[in-house]
Amino acid sequence: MKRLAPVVLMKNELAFTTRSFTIDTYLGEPQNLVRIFSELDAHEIVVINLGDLNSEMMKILEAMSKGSYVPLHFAGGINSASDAALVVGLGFEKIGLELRSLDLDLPKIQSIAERVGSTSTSASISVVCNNLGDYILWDWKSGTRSSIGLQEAVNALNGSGCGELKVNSVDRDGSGLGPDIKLASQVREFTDLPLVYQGGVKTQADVDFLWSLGIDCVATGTMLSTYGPHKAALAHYPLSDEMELRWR
Amino acid sequence: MEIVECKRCVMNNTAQPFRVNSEGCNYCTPAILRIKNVLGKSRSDLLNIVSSIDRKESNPHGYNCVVGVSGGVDSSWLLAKAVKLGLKPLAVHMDNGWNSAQGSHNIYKLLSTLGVPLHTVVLDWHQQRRAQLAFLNANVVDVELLYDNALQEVCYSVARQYGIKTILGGNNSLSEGVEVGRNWVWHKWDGVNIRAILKKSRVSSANYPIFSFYRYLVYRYVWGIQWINLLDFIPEFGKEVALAELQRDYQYLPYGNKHFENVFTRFYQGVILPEKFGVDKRRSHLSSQIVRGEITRSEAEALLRLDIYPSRALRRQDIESICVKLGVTEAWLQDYLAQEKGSHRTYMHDPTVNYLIPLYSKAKSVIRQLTSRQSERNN
Amino acid sequence: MNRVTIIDAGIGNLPSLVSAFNRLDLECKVVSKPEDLKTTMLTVFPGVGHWGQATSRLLESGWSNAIQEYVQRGGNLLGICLGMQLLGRTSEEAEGLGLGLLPMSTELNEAHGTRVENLGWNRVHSPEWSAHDWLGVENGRAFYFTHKYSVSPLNPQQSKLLSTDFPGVIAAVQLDNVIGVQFHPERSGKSGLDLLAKVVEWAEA
Repeated sequence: MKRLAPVVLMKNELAFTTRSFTIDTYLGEPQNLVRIFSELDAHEIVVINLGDLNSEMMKILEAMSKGSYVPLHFAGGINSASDAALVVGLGFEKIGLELRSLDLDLPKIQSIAERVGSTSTSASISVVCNNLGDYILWDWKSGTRSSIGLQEAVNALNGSGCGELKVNSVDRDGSGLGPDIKLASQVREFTDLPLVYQGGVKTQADVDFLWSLGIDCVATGTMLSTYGPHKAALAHYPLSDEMELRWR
Repeated sequence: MEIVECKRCVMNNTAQPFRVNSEGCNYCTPAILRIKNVLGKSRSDLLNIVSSIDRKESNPHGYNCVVGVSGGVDSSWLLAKAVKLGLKPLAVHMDNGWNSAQGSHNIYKLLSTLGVPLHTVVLDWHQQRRAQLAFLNANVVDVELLYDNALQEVCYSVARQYGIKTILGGNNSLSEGVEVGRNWVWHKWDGVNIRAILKKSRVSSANYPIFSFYRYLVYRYVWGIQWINLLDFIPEFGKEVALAELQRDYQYLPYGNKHFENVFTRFYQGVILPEKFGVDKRRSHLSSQIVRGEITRSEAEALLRLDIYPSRALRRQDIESICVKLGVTEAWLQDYLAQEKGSHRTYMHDPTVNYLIPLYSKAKSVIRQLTSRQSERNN
Repeated sequence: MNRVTIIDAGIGNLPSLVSAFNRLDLECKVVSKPEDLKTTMLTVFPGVGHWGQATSRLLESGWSNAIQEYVQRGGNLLGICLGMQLLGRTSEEAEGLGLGLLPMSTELNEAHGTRVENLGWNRVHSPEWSAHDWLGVENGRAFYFTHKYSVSPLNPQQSKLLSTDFPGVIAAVQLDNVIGVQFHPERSGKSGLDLLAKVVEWAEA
């Protein structure tokens, strides 16, 4: 069954949408957003933290876990298998790790998969287009392009023990210009792993199309957290009855 | 305290001052006049207002009015009506971090079906949390003063931002004809009081939307922005009718009680007011319905015997979320509920809104009563 | 008498489960010592992780005996995810004996395409031999699954719900006073909460 997942992205314990990975619309209190999406029966909620996994964040995550009746995915600040185990212990179904460097991040992903299981380990890549039109990885922390190409990254992740791959289009992020279909199709070709796509999704038609390409889960921040021409903060999710019609 | 009840409505002496008379009390008697006033409005009265809004210079986006939406029945129905009357509203929502899922969903369904654009003002959560705690620490009765006051400032400031000259408010005499107990609330324009309560707990009020009489004057007479309670021109408005239409046309999910679209507000009305202050705000909502003829007094009494919260599970869930989000323990909360009541009066307050304006309103209502009696005598 | 008891044997994920029962306005008590497992209306046995580690844990701590005795006394038991698998005898995943309360063993999922991990929402349906709408779960209801191994009962009649999306996966089993579900009802939105409520009704009857 295909999934549509709202993304709740936090910085300094406040929720925001992003545009090309820079902070865009302020959405307010993140626990409330998680609760709202859970009540609206979202298929899964992706929680991303742009910061460290400190005790404040752990408290927030614990509250989010208690307040959700749908699966939760957490990414951000996970540096070790024990970090991952801690967050899984709070009740999160999946831990996301960003692949930015093959040397540093692959072993991390492997050790986490061994510790919490591959079904709980999700690897994430952020992708931009270089001048030649090829897809390469983007390192959001340093704000630079890496030399790792898309296929190289996906091949590495195929054997890493992760149970899911999340691909983020930096260019389309928060743009509402529609998803990067070419990127989504390429990744689908390069791997059999369950796939999550995020970036630029605007309408249910975009979601349906990505699902038809074989993407298992469409993740979106802007589409489900804002409304209208003024990008007003408003959390919403298609009610279950409607989702019936769209199930693939 | 011995309970004295009104025999017409369900207000009682938990509302102060409370005076019974031969027919009712000092809450339902003026309501009758207010409601009669609205019921006497004609279609042309409404259309005159609408065309005066239309005639005002519209802003670059083409909006000619602002409608504050909270997800509640009154403002939702008002928005739908405004669109039906041909107005071009910009919906405004104030998010204080406590939206319920149903509230958020209802707003979305309503706006997207009607094709109405939205501007949301999301309050700074860190400041909001501390401001609410400041109100709790002050042990004052009107904890919602913070929200109600801010909402007005937000509506006016957004109207100003977009160059819109009219705000349509959801307050109305038909569903709110019977006022809430005077001791249950503080004056909603008293920004001075808000700042003083926040200052006591060392919370900065910088950039927090705070309204006042002064700001009203500036918005009204400098920027030319008018606030119209349009529902007071629509005699067919009624709670049941409105809810049925909203459910039919927008798959609106009902909440169970007035203002239950906001988690903190329902906690305030369902726990704080009854347990700390002995106040059941439903008394005034139900009394308005009695005066309007929508329900009988015994039906109202039966409803009052029910728990304010539709379910125990919801009440428990709310208490848990409130504690977690405010950063307090349940023990602290219990302690707060047991503490002695404080008074808004002990904090600095605005003399204009607390004394001058009530005097002016009282004068107006006396004049209205006299002229209505005069015209009755003439007829 | 306590209504719902949740076993904390160090192998489960409890906070969400407690939250779910609270949401249903049901008092639940978490029990971490086997000797504290008393008579109750319903005992819930959640489990996530690795079969090998879980079985040794259960044996060493005395939980194996405690749960077996509880069921023999007629207590109602609900096993979730690994908890459901542990109701059986053995698993392909690793060494170690399960509780043996249900005649079944656990095997690697049949591959679905190239995947053996069943990760995500599955719609379920009642098998032909099962009473229509077992526990009121309508065909097509979706639940959240996350597992690589699944149970294979010796007697097919014990299978009450099957997955539509991941062929071969048995979503729920039942034998007398013991129920097992492979999915996570505490993370399956409204469907999951409804199911928990129905299990409680079943236990009360």
